[in-house]
Amino acid sequence: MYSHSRLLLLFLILLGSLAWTALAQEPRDPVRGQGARWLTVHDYGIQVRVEAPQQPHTDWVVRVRDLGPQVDHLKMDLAPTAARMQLLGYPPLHLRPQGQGEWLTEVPRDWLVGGIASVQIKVLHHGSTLLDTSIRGLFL
Amino acid sequence: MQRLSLTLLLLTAFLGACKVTIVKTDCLEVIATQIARDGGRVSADTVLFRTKKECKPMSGASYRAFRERNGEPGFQSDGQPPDVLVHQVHADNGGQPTHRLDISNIDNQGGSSGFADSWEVTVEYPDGDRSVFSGNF
Repeated sequence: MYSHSRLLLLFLILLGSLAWTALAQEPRDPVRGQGARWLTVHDYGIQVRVEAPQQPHTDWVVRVRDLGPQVDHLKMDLAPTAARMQLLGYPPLHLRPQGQGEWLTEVPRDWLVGGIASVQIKVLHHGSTLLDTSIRGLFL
Repeated sequence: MQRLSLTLLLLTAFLGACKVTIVKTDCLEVIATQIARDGGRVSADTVLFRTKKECKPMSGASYRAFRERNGEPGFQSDGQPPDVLVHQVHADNGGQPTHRLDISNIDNQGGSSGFADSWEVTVEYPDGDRSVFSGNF
């Protein structure tokens, strides 16, 4: 019985180490130097936009925009009421309201110097999720 | 056990390097694998469309690469001016609803028409409903 518990403990430690190592070694891709990329969710008329730094010492900008009711293939015109993003290894960033359904946060350029491994954004309309996605591709 | 751990570790690293989630919602996930950029050309081995078992299945999916001309999100063939379609692929499961569809070997190149700067993916459902996502390369 005792040896079974020890084996189980060893197995859990091994599993934890494996997960930690996999996380730490997740490959990073270099981020692009300029320009903006965006993703539009036509169902709700919202857009996520990622802008590379325009000046050598400025940060990345991530915006969530409400495109209003004039978007093709719109199902429900829902304005974002909250948005947050998470880069692997860094604290979560809560986007700030800018008015007219726009939300914004800056991502410190230092966070992306070594490239990007994983980034997740969640956009909410009250309790409902409008978008929950990896936006790593928008940085590349 | 050591060999298994190493295999799992390498597999995790390999998958992390190859897959990019384009869109993930409560029901739907669109994943691209092996995305490559070479100058203006962007390609991917596969775009995988997946819906959860508890959600409604898909009847089809399509990918369009186009040149944005009118500044409106998504592809408009009747816009002012109309967008220029560069490449289009459609996939279905022979008329059977499914929770998984693949589109292989996609890119943003369209013969003599040059490179596309934008993309649009559409997920179609058996009841006529559809979900559209678009963006730029």
